[in-house]
Amino acid sequence: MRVALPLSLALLCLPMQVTAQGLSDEQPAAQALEYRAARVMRDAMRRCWRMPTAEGARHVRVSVEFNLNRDGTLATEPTISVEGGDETNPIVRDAMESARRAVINCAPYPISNDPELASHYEIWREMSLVFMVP
Amino acid sequence: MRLIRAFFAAFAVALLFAFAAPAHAQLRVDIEEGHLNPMPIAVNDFMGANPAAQQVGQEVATVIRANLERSALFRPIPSSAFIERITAMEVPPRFADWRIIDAQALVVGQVTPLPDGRIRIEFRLWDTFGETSLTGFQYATTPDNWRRIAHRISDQIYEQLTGERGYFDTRIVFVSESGPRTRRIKRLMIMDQDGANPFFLTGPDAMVLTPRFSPSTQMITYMSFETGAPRVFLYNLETNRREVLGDFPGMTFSPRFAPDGSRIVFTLDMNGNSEIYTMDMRSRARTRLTNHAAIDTSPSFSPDGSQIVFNSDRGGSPQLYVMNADGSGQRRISFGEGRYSTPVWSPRGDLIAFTRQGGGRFAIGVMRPDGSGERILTESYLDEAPTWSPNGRVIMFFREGRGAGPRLWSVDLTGRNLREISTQTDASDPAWSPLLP
Repeated sequence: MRVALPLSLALLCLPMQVTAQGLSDEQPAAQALEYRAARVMRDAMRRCWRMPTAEGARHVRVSVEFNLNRDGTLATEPTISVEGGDETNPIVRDAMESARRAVINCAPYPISNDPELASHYEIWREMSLVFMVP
Repeated sequence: MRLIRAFFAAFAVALLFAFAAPAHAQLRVDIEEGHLNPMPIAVNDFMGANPAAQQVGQEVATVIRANLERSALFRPIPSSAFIERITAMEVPPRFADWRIIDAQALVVGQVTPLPDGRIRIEFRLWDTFGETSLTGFQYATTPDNWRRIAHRISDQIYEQLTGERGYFDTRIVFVSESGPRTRRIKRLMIMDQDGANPFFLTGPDAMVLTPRFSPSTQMITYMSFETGAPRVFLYNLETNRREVLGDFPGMTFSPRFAPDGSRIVFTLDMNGNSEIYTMDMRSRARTRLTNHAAIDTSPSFSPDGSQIVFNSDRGGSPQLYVMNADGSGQRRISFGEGRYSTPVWSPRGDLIAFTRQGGGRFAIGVMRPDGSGERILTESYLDEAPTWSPNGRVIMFFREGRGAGPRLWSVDLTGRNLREISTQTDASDPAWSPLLP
């Protein structure tokens, strides 16, 4: 009880603390960095992702999750999942393969070339790229 | 004092939640733009235990490279760029050596003479970035059949790397044209899809027109004047037997098979009025599908056999119409400028290819079965008679220039990769076979 009360008080105070410490200003800055990191990844995929050519691939969304090291190399094997498709379908399988190849082929990512991004590794350490054929 | 300590402890936990959690959030990025450049692929000459086997191995690899390159989805890397020299099928390649030259996939194979005089052709497809074997097969065959095996291997590579069925182990039947325009000789000819192994199916005495492959069997239907009046013939490629489809009172033309090969749909002209009929291949019973004073012709089944697209001038100019397979529900689907003809339903069912004439030019285009989404793929002085590859990705047609004879051309469904198909003579009216059994 002696611990629960102050804990509740502290949690109640948290929004005030965040505001007081100016996080509302930092939030847009973080979003801007996320945007810049995303742009680096999109530019990379524009070069490296060979889009599936099968007509049926248009409805498939492939998600590739992986971690990056600070130097832009892959820290983990990409984990691939698919939305809106059956993984046993050859067209879906090819869409997954093309995304996987793109992620592996494109590393190392030049993301740390941007000094500000380099100092905010936490923003881009864990990636989830969602590939959609337009 | 204890209360203050607990307060600070709780505050620290709250801070941890406030800052640590976002710091480990995953950055989600939507990727909607890549490229459509051909995939670099390394196809090694297949190894051989003796010079004859090595020769076959080189030729197999050459055909595979040519097939893949012609699809425009792959870019075979010149062997002069290879770093590793493959010497054994069983040993995994040094993937890094292939990644350096940007090979995204690697094909290795070998040809082995068998004691019974046949040869075994085997191959393996490697993913150089995933460092895994994607597929591999072996075939025992007669030495003279190596080209077909090369096409089959090409299909397997294509299927594995694109997700779509291949179309390399197929043939094209077409009208071979020779001689002066006033005395043109038109014979039926067949060749592999890459132009190899051409040979005549009919002699020079009777003019032939509109050959069409059965989508499911090795049967061809075509129109011939060999009995005087134009008649629809059937040609069985497995038995080399020919027969007249039927003896009708008028002229028959524009024959085409139903998807399962059980029926033929064609045009019968009686007393100057052309109507569309189907004929059951077993009972030879015919059923009239259209009944209109206008010209109804060029019927083509949808791949599920439930509908037929055809050409009619009932609206004042030749346009495309769709009806149910029993003739009901006839409706116009083309409304663009110009005259539409030779409609062919895609094997995938999602598109209809056609010829459109307007402004003194001919174009090959596609539209959805409801008439929407019309796209022109090629246009010239004369482009005509589209036919689909069995995977519905490529369209072949014939093109004729001013004063020049007709030649066969192919184009990708996207309108890219326009190529002339090499033939020994002038060539028109191509028809693409299904994948060979």
